Amino acid sequence: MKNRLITFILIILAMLVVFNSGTFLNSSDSISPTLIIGFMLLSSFVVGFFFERGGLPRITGYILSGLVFGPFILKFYSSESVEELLFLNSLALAFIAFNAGSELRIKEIIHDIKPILYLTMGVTIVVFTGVTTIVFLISDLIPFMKPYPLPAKIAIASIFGIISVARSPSSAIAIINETKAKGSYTSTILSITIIMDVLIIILFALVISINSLVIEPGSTFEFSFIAFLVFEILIAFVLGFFLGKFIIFLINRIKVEFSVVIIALGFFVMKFSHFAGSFISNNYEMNLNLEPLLICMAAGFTVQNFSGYGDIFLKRMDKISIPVYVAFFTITGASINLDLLRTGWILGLIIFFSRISMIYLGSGLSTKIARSEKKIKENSWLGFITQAGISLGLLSEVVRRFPEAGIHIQAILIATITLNQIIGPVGFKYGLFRAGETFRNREETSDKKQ
Amino acid sequence: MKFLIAIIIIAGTALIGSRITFIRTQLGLGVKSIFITGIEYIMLGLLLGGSGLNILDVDTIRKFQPFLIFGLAWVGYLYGIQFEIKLVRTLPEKYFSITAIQAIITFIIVSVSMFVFFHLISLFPLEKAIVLSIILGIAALSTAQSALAITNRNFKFRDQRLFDLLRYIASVDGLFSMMFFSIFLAFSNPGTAAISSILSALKWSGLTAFAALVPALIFLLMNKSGYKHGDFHLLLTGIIAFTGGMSWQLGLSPLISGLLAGIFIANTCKFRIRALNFLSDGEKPIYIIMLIILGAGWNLGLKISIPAVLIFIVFRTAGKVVGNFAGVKSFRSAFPIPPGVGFSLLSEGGISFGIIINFKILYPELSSHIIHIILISAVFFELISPRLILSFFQERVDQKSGPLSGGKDEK
Repeated sequence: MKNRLITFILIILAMLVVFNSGTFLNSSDSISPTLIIGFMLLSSFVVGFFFERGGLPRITGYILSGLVFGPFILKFYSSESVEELLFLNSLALAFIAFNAGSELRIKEIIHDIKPILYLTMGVTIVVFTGVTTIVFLISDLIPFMKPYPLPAKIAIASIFGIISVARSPSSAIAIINETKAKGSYTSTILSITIIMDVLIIILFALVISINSLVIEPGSTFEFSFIAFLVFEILIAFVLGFFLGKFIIFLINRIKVEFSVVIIALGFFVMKFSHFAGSFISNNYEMNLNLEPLLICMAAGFTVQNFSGYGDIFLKRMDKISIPVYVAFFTITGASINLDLLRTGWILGLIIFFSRISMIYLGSGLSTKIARSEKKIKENSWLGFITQAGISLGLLSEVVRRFPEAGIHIQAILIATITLNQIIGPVGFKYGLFRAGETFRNREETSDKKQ
Repeated sequence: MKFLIAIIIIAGTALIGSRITFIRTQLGLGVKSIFITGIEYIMLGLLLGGSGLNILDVDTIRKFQPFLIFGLAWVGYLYGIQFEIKLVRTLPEKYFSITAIQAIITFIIVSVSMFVFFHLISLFPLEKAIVLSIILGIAALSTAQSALAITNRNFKFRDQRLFDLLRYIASVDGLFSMMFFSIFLAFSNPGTAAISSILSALKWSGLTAFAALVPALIFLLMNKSGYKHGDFHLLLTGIIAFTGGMSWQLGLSPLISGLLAGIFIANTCKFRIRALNFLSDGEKPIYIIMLIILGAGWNLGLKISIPAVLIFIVFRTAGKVVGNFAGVKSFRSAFPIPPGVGFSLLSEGGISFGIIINFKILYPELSSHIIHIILISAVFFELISPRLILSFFQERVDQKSGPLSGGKDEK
């Protein structure tokens, strides 16, 4: 512990020396990305260790480290520097999506189909209706909602509701990897989280399409929009299936550095999706939006369920997971815009508590109806708090579709998502521990037996 | 789009290239030696660069600069971490003295001759001519191990001690290159060719020590045996990026800071072997990427090309031969050493490439001439080196069983 503390101080001092000693180069007016990455990796590594010692998840430490040293508090690196590193986040997201897909095992899903189905439906319905109702009820206290007529207020409230349903597979997987958790609680929560990641895209599109009619007078309901979305998802799954088959071939035949291959493939999928989308829209006047994360997820799912290499794939991914998580969550933390957070934090806090209450209620009801195991009944809500990337992505879409109201919704929900990002992993780690499925639980049990 | 294509080609080449060796292929010894030094990747870079397909244009190359900084620090760490003083001391002290003498003489002969040449052609102002000659001298003195490795694979030296001496010189003279490079950087002003004051040189040295020792100390403090694979890799990667980034930010050399940090870790950390293994695993792909980028920046249309390269080749050969002769003559050896031993130490690459890459990022304006001379001469030396070793040691080597250069591709 003492060594870590000295290390931490040394890292900070070194950065201060670099900032204040001047440079031998005349042209160096911005901070080198190499230095930022080095600093991020080391500082987050140490902060993550402190959090772990305090019984908290490392990833919360990584996020907070990025937030504190980032452009809005200590300013060790600027927003521009963080933007330059965002491509690393895309790579990490692709990696996490591969991982998420390969964590889904058909056998396990079928085995736990009842709790999975009930919890997915129950929590979605309760959180959506609950948060929508609460936001609607307090809409007169929300300045930007005041001028809107009643139907528009309901529509806007439903946007808060639908985004509250989204979760974060990346955080869930990172916590599971960190705690080396295994068991029915772990697999149920993970399966629901990943399934929700796909469902939320469809539900969001549905809600947005209906809301357009209310918020933007003159709009018409576009059923084709939903159909096209389903079509896009199907294409992503098909592409993911073939990519998965290609990965199986690579594992089987080519003895190359797997970590580099998988990250390169992720990068390729990201770029290919954007390229294919813009190529088709330019040449065929069709707005095809291939979701790269769905492709990666489907590829991971294919490797796990349509080959005998699922475990090898996961093991190899695990070897490089720590650097990926550190980079991803630190950059995520550094990307949190505190200026936006300041403007919407009170309402954000209200929605944060409303969401958690609804998750608790929804989980309780669903597990009761499904007659789930006790540990799932008592702890499932703790696994559904995390929120991150996808929610922010959906928020950007809200701003794009409804620029006027969207910017206010974004300010409020960023505050909520930030809180969920920080509190969620703590909750899930605690839930895993209470369910007795972490590595520490297993060690304690074996100690007792001895 | 260009950047994407460049990444795909470079990453793919590094990935495949790092798995292939050409030692057992049916190629001539010289060509094999070229492949070991990695000159084919420089050629690929040349093809992709401004002189070829222009996929790796100036802008795209600039985008790779953070990686070059990281790669240089990595190479520095890898080289430094092998210098465990305890181990170095087990080797005869006079080996070190012979290496030092040959390094100093080669440096002087090449630097002086190149300076005279640059001065005579009057293409550069005095200060630039001095900088170019010094860097060429520094790059010239280090020996790549490729030709020795090739020869050793096919032939057995009757006196193993002689081969050990050659290998020792080829491994250790890179340290002198780095030392001279450090002194050069301390007294020169990056970006321009102006000579700095003693105070500035001291500041440079102090900051270099700082940029090397702080990360090394962090590594020591953070190290513990129970680290998982990923934690250890993360820590080492973070340390290397931090060293390289700090050095670059301060206008220092990532290569030198990495080297110093590596030496510090080699002599203080009980996990040096674990670190060495990790660094060695990543060496080849990183080296390949750096060579491709180096090749992409190669400007073939320079006026001074042929005479400058010829003079460099002639005087480097002279420096190596005279230097090694003087070194060997200065000490009594327990075994016979032929006077022309320098002919077997002409192979060029490795550290020289690292130094010119580092020079390129600090002195972009001046680097094109250096790159041009070093790369052409490296191809030449790699082609002739194995044959020179064989013809020189004709009576002192036996061919190993099996075909001279036959066998299957090794993957």
